[in-house]
Amino acid sequence: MRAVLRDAGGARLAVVAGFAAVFGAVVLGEFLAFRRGLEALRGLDLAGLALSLYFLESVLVLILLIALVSYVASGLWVFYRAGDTRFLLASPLPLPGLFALRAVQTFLLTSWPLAVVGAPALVALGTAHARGAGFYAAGAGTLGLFAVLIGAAGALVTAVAGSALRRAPTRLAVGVVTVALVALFAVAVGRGVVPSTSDFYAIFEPGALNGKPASIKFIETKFALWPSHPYAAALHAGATGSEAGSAATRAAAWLLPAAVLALAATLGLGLYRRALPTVAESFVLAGGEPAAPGRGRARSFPRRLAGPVGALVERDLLALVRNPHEWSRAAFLVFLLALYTAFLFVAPLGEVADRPAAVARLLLLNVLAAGYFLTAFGLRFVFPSVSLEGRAAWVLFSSPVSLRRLLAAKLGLHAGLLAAAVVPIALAGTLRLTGDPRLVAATAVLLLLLAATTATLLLALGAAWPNFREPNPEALSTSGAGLAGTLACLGYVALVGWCASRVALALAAGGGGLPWLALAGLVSAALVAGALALAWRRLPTLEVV
Amino acid sequence: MEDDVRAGAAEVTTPLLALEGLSKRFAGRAAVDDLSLAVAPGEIYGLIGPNGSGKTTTVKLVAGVYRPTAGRVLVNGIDLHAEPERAKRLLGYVPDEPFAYERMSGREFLHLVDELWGVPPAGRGARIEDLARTFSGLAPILDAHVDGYSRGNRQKLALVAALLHAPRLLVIDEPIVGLDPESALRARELLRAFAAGGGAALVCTHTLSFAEAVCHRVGLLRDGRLAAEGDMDALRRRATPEGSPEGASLEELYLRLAGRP
Repeated sequence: MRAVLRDAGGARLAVVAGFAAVFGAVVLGEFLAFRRGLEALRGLDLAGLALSLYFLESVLVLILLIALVSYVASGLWVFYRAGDTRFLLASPLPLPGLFALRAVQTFLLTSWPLAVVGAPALVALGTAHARGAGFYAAGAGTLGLFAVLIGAAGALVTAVAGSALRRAPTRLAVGVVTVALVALFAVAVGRGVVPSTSDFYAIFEPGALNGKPASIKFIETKFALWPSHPYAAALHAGATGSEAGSAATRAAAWLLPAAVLALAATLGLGLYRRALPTVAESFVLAGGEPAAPGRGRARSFPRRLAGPVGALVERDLLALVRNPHEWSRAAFLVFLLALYTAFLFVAPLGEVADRPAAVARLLLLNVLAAGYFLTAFGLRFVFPSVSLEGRAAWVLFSSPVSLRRLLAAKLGLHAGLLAAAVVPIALAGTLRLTGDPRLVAATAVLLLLLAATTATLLLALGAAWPNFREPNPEALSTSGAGLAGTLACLGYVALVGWCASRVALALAAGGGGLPWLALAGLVSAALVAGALALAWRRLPTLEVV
Repeated sequence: MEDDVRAGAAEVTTPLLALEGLSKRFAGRAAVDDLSLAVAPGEIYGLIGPNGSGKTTTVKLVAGVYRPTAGRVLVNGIDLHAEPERAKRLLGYVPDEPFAYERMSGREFLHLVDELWGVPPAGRGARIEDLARTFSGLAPILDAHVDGYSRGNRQKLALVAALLHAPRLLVIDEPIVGLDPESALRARELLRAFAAGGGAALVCTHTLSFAEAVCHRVGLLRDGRLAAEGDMDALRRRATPEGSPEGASLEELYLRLAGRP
């Protein structure tokens, strides 16, 4: 166990296996949820057929958007600033070869939505409609074409953005492009994907247009401009035998990837050829770069908070604010949570309030979603925060400020940021489910407990087993201690979600929810105390490289 | 033997830095092995030795960024690892790789250092400005982000940061690496002035001419142990073959004391 937490020797294999198991459990959970939903839709006949198409269209749109944003955010680093860029530029490797290498590397790094969401959706679709091996083979081929489209589009957008922002600092470029894409997609999803009440009326409308069910026709029109539409239509037709799609969409499924690939190989490569030398030669100005005119006034520090702890908190905040790459990632996660909550708002939940069991189940899902996002946020931003003191950690280690005070400062900051990012959105979802102020208050308490406890758990584990040599937050999060934190958080989130559903049922039955709140409080207190005790014991023994 | 090793050592009465039987092992291998030495107020002590001899480990142990496997580090009589906060207030440290927080300006970084060491706010700005002007080229870029600084400018920033809180003891790993000749000269003058003011310094360096010009005493580390110690003249006498009309050059001195052929 100690070897795993320290990432020592062969323990790395156990860590990889652990994360693979977590990944497998998530994919399995998704598959089961998708299959159950699709089987239920199958029982609704014509409306079910339309709703399953809506489901597929939405899933593929989300895969497209998430994969594309991830591709461009990572691609701007991989294409232009990867550690071996200068070495490869000095080698006889032709530039088209380097461009292709970067495109494949970035695709492999960012195509996870296809595996995490696309694969379980395909298998769920096949099993819900009792399809044979032929369907899965054709479906895999369809998703393969979709993957080529995403990869080619990602390379093209990355090259365009890299060229346009080639004189801007890379972090700023990544931040600007990511936030712009997220904002653009948020508007597009809000208008085109999230169903409105009138959409539901249209979907449940019987009738036919040109020999095709009107509801199918309606959905096809709604998603016609999304590049993912031909693939959703092909999968739906293959699974259900519906008449989704047309000869044009079937041709588009092949032509779109080919066309975007050709554009990436010509326009994208040309832009890359123009921008790469500019970006690669601006690594550092040896003489130092004076502050820009107008920004040159001497700034003291800290400006808002006092004392050593205040200064450390302000420094962390400053580091986040001045790192567009980091806040664009954070914005992306908030976007996903907001998207989930938006679905909750537009879903036809009018009658749910009268069914306590349904409220309890949806509340459970809502708290689980919030907990999942808190864990994801925490793992990416809180867990690595001590390690990310990195090569400058000598300042703290040689200073007369105790590392325990540093940890306390980081804890206050991160618990606050996590709560501010997730709790209001998750609470808005709760308000949609219930009007009972006692249940809303109880959920608010549970969500705050979730934020404080996940922040403490992940920060303490990251502080107890830091790695000051590793500057990459993703690599830090996938360490042995990161795995332990992930498992602990997911188990804890499940318990708090269960407590939330029990509170909902107890209040509906005229009882009180206090025992369940107390249980969640006790478990949270025990986890916080244990994690802090561990970090307290380990901190004085830490050494910086 | 001990007397032989410490040939020419200055008499140390009230050391600002004392290492007592200091050892550090990594995965069972001794990087520093039972090292004892003392540095008096007003003294600059140089540590030299081949790569892997334990110089940087010693400096990191003294700065409090490593914990000793055995032995003690006393800063003005205060045990560094028993009372780290008290001892570190007296200490200024410049590491071998002077990284600073990249998304802060140099000035913000120096203010942060002041805050961590509890320097009163009044007069901070002026002291930062004064110290920054010691080194050519640092003051004009003090409000730019550190991630744009070259190696030399980071070194200057770290030297200024180490001196800001008026420490009693300076611990510096390679003080002039990356510095231009003018800044290296300034660093030398700064160190001398620091010692003349009653401060003590432990300096680890590969630049033998710097050690000769600045250090009152030099200790040569080999395999984590002190192989020789004394002022440069005494060490030169030890390294000069008997009957040789000329004293050993710095390089010859180093090679002989380090046991190299």
